[in-house]
Amino acid sequence: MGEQWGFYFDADSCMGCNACAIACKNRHDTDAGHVDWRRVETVSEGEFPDYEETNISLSCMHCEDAPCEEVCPTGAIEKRESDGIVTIDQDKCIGCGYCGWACPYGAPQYGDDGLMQKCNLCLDKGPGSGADAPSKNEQQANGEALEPACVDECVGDALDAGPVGELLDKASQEAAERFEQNRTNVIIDSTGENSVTGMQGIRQATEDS
Amino acid sequence: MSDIATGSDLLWIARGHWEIFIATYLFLGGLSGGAYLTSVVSSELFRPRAQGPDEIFACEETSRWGAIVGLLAIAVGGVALLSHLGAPLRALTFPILFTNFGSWLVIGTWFIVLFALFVTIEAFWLLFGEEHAGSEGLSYVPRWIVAWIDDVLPLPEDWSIVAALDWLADRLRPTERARRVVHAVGSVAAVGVIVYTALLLTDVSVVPLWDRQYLPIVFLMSGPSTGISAALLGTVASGGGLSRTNHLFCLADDALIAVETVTLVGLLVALSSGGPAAEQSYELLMSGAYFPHFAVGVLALGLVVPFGLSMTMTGLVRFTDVEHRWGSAFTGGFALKYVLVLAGGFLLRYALLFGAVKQPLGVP
Repeated sequence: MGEQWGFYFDADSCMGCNACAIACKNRHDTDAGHVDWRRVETVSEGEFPDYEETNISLSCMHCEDAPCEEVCPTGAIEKRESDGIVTIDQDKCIGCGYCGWACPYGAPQYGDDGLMQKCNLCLDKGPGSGADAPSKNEQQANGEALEPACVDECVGDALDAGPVGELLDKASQEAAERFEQNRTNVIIDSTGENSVTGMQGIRQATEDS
Repeated sequence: MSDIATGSDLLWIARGHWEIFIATYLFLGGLSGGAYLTSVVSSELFRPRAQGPDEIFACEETSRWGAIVGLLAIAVGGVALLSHLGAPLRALTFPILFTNFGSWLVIGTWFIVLFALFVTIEAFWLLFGEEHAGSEGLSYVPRWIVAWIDDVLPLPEDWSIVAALDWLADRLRPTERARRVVHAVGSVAAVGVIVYTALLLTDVSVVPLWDRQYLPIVFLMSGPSTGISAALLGTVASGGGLSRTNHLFCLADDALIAVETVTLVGLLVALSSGGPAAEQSYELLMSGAYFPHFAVGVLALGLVVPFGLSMTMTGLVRFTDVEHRWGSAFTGGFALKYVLVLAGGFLLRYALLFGAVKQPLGVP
């Protein structure tokens, strides 16, 4: 398998401006309003005056054991061998919505065409693109790789993307350890007292079910 | 911007995209399998032991209604499923396109195809053939419709669709032993359809309401219960409300209702302390937006009242002779019970779908 690609997100640097979400929509020309390949959520904790908020920029986690791929009847969803990115081939999708239920993160969503679409880590531009695109590793070697729009437009450098090995070099030791425990292929870094403690917490909540 | 609800230290994820069409499909799938099983049980177990023309008539009506309802339900359910899809025509190429046999949607589709074949054959054999020419009974409605088409169409006088179907049915009718084999395989397919509709949901591990331990049992009880109710509602309409067949099926239905109720209570207990999403589903069903659908519609009107009604009527039949004096009241009582079970069966799927809450992302 080619080297796994993923996202890096530093919750301490995110100011919740939504530039990443808007940039994603612009890059892929996704429908305004109800389709969000990337979205920013604000999680609150405590009550005034001990009240704090944390911003989380969420997209497809490109999971190692992608549950959306497991339930998809047609094989339209694929965890690519070449770069580990989870793609949807809209030429095979029947629009049953099963993947939308199976995904713990709400990544696959219906477009106006009745077919599912989601983040493809900017393998290519537009809904339905990316499934047959060359490996991100190959694109990078040839100097053709698109930097994900969300990374491109992030005001506070809170987002990054690339081969997971490279991202881990950037992450704190704590974040790297959390990633090794729960390989969702998104590394969440944060050191704040009231910060999201990464995918460990997120995975815990889903696995408890 | 997003439809994700946020709250204190938990990130709630939006529900999926299944709406009323899927609830209808899940309901009709279970009902269809149950109606076929009712038809087979009536043909294989009750009909050979029937005594007197009235009891034989009731058995045969139940067999026919079971097959007709089963066929109609799987057909309408299939249309409901296709109506929900973003690319319904593409889904019709399933023999080629559905390649992931680890997906319950693929396994279920093949169960449905196999089952549809068996229920169609069964309905055909029960409605057509020389022995059915001139037979009485409300369940012969499909045969009457074909005869009406014969009258309306400008066909030659010696050409009739009914006669052609009768000829074909007689040529295709198997021996008794072969028929039993057909019934056995068809019953396996029917149970497959019933159970698959539950496993389709329970394969989604992030929705605690779709519990792997309880939901398959609930559906395994509810499918045959609604199937019996639909088939016996037809039998009651045909005049078989006071027959022994009806009483036996009604008691069997009561047993299914009892097990279903206990299992649902178990599910509710598990939900009430099963973590944030489970507890939110519990509240939605027991005191929130879906209280009228689940607590009132399913638990009270769909399970407890029909069970109580049935027990009351059974007691009166067993220990008094009022059934003969107040026959029409009993017929109405049975019809009411079956209608309530059917309404409860639909509301069960509706509530399970709309009360589904995804496990939130934890923020310690």
